[in-house]
Amino acid sequence: MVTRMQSYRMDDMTKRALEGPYMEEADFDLKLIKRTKEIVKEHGIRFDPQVIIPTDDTMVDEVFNAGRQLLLELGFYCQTTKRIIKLEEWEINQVIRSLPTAWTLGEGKDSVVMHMRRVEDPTPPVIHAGPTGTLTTEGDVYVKTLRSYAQEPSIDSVGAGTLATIDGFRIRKGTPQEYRAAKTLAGWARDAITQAGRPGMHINDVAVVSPEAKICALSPEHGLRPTDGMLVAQMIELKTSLAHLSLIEHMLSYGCFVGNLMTPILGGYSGGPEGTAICTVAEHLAGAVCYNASYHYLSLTNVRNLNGTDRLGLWTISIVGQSLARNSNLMSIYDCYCAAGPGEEMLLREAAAGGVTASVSGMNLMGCGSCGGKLQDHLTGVEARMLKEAGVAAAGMNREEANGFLRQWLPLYEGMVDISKSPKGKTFQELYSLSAAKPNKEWEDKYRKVIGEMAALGIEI
Amino acid sequence: MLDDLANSVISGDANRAAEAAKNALTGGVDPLNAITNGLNRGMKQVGEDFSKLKVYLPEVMMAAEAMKAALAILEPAALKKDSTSIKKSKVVIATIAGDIHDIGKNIVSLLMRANGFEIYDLGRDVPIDAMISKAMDVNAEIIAASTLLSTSMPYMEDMIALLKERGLRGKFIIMVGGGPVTKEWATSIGADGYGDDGDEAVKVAYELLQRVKPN
Repeated sequence: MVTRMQSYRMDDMTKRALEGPYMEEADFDLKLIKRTKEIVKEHGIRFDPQVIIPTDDTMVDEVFNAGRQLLLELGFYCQTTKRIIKLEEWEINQVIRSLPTAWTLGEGKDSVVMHMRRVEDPTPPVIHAGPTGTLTTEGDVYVKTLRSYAQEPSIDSVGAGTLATIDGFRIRKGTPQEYRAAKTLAGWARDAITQAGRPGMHINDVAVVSPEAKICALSPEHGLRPTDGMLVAQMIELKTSLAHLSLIEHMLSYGCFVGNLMTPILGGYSGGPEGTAICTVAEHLAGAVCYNASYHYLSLTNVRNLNGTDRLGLWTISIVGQSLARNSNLMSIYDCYCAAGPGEEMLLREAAAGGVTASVSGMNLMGCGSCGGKLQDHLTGVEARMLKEAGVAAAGMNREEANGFLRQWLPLYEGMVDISKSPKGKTFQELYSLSAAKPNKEWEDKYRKVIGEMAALGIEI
Repeated sequence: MLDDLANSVISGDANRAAEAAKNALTGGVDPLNAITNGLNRGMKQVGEDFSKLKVYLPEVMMAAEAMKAALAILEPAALKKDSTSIKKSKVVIATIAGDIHDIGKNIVSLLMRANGFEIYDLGRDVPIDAMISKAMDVNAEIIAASTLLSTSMPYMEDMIALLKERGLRGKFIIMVGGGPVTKEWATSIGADGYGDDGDEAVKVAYELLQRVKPN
């Protein structure tokens, strides 16, 4: 019954994508730029660099209202047909009201329940860990990399590395090798969780680009199961395509989770943190209504530095998370993208800041990305452990306390978030024993040092 | 008057920029000097501010509109005085095959156009032979390719290989950029230049035009 209702909605969305108002994409972008700026002013939304986790509930709620207004005015743009999927307020409200407050991810003893979290919620956040789109070496290194996450007791879900090559063949989008990569990635993810002794663990994605190729990853035997999920991307900003809607159609009938992936650009079309925040709320709502998404990955991208752990980014993430947590059951997952690389204390400090901010703001977690995703094999399970543990430690903390911590914590790294200056660290192979996928002493010592610094500021891991 | 031109661009006020351009001409300012030391100086400041995130893309777009409004008045005057005074370098730019992300490419395109380049923006997911054909058609000096996807980076390598195969490599300056692209990778595939962001892309393009002379 649920699937049929979703199919009706997909038919409706497809019809709108085919018959909605026609508009050139550049004109849609210009309208978004203009109206975002105006709506920010109309709703009195203002960024305050000294209050990283906003405490003004009226402004938090206005961000939600402004985001809904932006979506209602602009609609969701279909790049394939150059038509706008127009939405109405009643249907947005209906979807918001109908969303569940918890999902069971994975299967059996390895499954985890991800809850809709609220502001200052004591419920620990769930983490979807993995290389989050960063290039990874194929074969055993890939399996061991994913295993490095899966064998961390605090990690709840893995997935989402991008392969550089498959069978030595450099992967190009839209080629047979991309389709093979999708199947292979899913199989390797299953191998990794099995080796870690958690065969029912949720797999959150396979990171190939073509929506058509992603379908190849779905297989109950040696691929992604209905208890797993995949990301379906939105294009920047507030855009989709028929190929993405088609992927969703197949995923819904297969029964797996649809994760709405948003990569809003802070400093891009929607402007600064205020505009980016309302545009991001609009993208969450579009994902819920048009994608039938179960949860929403917020991968905020700084236009210059590609990360989301500076003051601008954390404020934006927090106010988006809070506005959704206070006004809906949309589960937002903060995709923590950092400037520094593995083996660097700075990466752990960025992950800690992200974990605290997102947790207090009512979000769940994903990560970590490092070095803006530019460097192959620059990712390990240790930084994901930090993100999760910081989130757990901050669960139930009030916003004032968390801001007190962040005010002392951010100056430890924010002077280095410029992607051209941030320390790049080392590769997974340099920081781990490959045979057991265990971190070396150097990396573990740095982790212990950073959690000691956090404890001194009142956050005990 | 030059300051007024620069400030009109920085503030993104197209009406003020057009007014400042008219005032410059009636005040006897050499139009080429007005463009170079007025408008271009303002746009350079905007590019640097964007690079430091003191301003955001909407402000850059407004600055570019102001620049356009003033150039519509100053360029004809400069050409009238000396028809060879304004020679724009031609750039064919696109998000390369397999990738439909175009905001990065749009930013570079916008900043290069505002800094005096003649831009042929082919859009996104553009096959490499279409980029080369367009560059041949318009006799471009630069081909600039962008991508956000690691799975489209090989097409940049393919483009350079195809240019070599067709004996055209020396004819164009090749610039690459985008999320996963690094300077080291650009060098490894034989590209001439790479920019971390739009502002750097403009600087690199100027520098390459001086250093690498396309045949």
